[in-house]
Amino acid sequence: MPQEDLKAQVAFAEINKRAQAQPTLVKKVGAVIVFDITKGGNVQQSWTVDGKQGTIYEGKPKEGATAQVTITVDDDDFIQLATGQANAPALFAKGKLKVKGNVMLAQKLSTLFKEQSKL
Amino acid sequence: MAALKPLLDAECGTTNPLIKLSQFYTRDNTLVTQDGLIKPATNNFTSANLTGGSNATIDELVNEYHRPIAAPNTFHLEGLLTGLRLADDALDNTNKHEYEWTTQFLDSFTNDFSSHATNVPKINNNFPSSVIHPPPNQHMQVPPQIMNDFHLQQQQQSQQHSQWMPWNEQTYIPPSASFPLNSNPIFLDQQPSTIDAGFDNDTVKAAQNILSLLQETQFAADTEFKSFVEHVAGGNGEKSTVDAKKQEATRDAKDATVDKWINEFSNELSNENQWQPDWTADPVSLSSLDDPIPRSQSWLRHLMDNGDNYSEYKFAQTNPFLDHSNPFEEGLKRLQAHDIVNAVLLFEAAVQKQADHVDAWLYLGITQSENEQDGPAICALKKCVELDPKNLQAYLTLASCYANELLTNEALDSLRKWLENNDKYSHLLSNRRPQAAVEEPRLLDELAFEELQELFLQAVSLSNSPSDIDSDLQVCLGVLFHLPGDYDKAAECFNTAVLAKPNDALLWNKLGAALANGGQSEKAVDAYYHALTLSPGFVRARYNLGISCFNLSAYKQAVEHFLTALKQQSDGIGPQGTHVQMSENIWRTLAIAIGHLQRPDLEQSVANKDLSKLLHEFQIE
Repeated sequence: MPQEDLKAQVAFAEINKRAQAQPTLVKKVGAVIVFDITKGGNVQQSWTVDGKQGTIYEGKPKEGATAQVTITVDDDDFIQLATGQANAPALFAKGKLKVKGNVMLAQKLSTLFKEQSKL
Repeated sequence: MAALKPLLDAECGTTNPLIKLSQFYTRDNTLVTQDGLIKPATNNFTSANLTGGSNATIDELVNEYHRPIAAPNTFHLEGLLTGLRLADDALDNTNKHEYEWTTQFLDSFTNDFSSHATNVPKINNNFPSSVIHPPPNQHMQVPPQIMNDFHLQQQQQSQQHSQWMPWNEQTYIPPSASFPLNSNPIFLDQQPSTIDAGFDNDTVKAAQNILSLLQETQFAADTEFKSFVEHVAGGNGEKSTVDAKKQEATRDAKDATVDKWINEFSNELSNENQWQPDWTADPVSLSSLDDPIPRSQSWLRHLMDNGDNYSEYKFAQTNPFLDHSNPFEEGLKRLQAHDIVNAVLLFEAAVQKQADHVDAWLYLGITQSENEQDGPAICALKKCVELDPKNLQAYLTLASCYANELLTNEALDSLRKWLENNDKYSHLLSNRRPQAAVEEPRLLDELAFEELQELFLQAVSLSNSPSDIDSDLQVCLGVLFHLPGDYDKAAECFNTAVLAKPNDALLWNKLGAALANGGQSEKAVDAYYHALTLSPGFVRARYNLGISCFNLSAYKQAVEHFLTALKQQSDGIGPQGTHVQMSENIWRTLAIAIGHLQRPDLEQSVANKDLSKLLHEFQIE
């Protein structure tokens, strides 16, 4: 399956760049979240955001880490999410985003995708 | 201020239309599809309101906001009726029915905020009725008739607004705190003891109006609504009769429904646990720690670990005010003059002179937070509550700072302490059972969250009249909702707080932040504009403004705002300061924004923190 076609690839590269500039960013997510990116209805590739180790990588969680939340979303919708043009609850309400696990843990994901405004 | 005008006039305004369009999809559909359902323009801030008024004084804007306070009732007749009409149109009916309306009812507490009216139709669908009586399966027939009655022409909202607004805005104020977040949004309200004695003439007249309309059709002959209106029209506003009427009409219904709603809502939250408790089956990874704190208390360890980061305040290395005779007083003056950066230094001097100066620590914390330095802010505030464990303002500010740092459990803890130490509300806690030890560590301690939510809801319902807004309480609620990412609700709370205190720049900033985090960047910009007008040296608001510009793809403006903020921070220290305390956050976000400008030459300057070069490059004087 050609992963180069997935826009999510680019998105995750961006996120990684941001994470490098801010080392505590991924740790603040706090949980191990797996993204199953689909295209044409089938899961093409997964990415793991390991909020415990503070790492983001392609593929399923490595040894010793268990997914606490798994999010299944289409490639295009993921881009919407990652660029802040759509938010997760809205996508979820439309059925475009499926969550398995403790959805509350996924709330902090928005901090990965865009800068948090400060109260 | 003049600098912000072009922001609103031109460039930030010309946003990518796709983003605008998508923003509509992130909000409720009914807001878009129903023209005039709620007019955003009548809401608090739009570009039109604000740019027209760079001449508009704060007073004018304040007056705009004061008006809605007179009509704070959640019973919004035309909203309700439009909602019925919506149901009739059967546009998005399935969605509405699926939508968990208990969450919606909680949204419905504010009067003017945009999502309000959109929630009303949802409530109406499931509503167990005491207001408009025909049982649910008949309600589809109801709307046309009501619509005919209540709108003398079959016209659009605009007519209806002018016609009925006065009625709404007039003095029918639901007896108990239906504003905000009261458990029962209907105007036939339940808490008998708090009804204001009698109704005044205007209300009576209005009721007579409605009655005559009702009588013209044979519709609603037997409804409680009609009989209630008869009551009011008869000028019979005595407490006891209305009480008796309302009590028998609604009490049982109310208790059951209120409890049901609260339960449903809490269940909604706890349902999430039932899905796939992978993480509950994963205690192993946690036990890899050998220290004496048992695994079940690793949340405690988490708290303690974070505590270490904030235990000692790091003072500025060079502080020109160390020898000042009365740094605290001077600090307050500078704060009044919106000179945040120097105020910080003065407060630092004050605590270095006198380590147990509670207010100095408090103000140091608050000001550092305004200065976009949450780390030092937390240190200072912790010192403050060490010295003064009942300091409410400190707890409130701490909660916001922890929320910004995504330390959700600490934020919850601070909110709880605010409640515990607040004489107005602490009695609510004494009714609680002591909190059971949390078995599993959670990112957001859901039990604590639900409990606090319920407590705050109770606190809100204590307010005696809708115009009596405890803005601090609203801020607490706003922060509470912000924690699990419920940005829309958070924004509504902050909006309520701002209605009570329209000159508080900090509140405007919080409102903006909640809007921005919820994806409503344009509205956020408006809110920041308010904050900066009130307090031009408000570094955090300017930083947030930059972030919102960034989210709207206005990268150049974003960079300019970040640079201005950094300049304000570095100016404060003065010529002798070599070690300038500028905010890491701002530099970091600046770097990302510059990355989007495709200027690799500047990226090096950013890496070197060469502020003067960058200021020169972007022509910021």
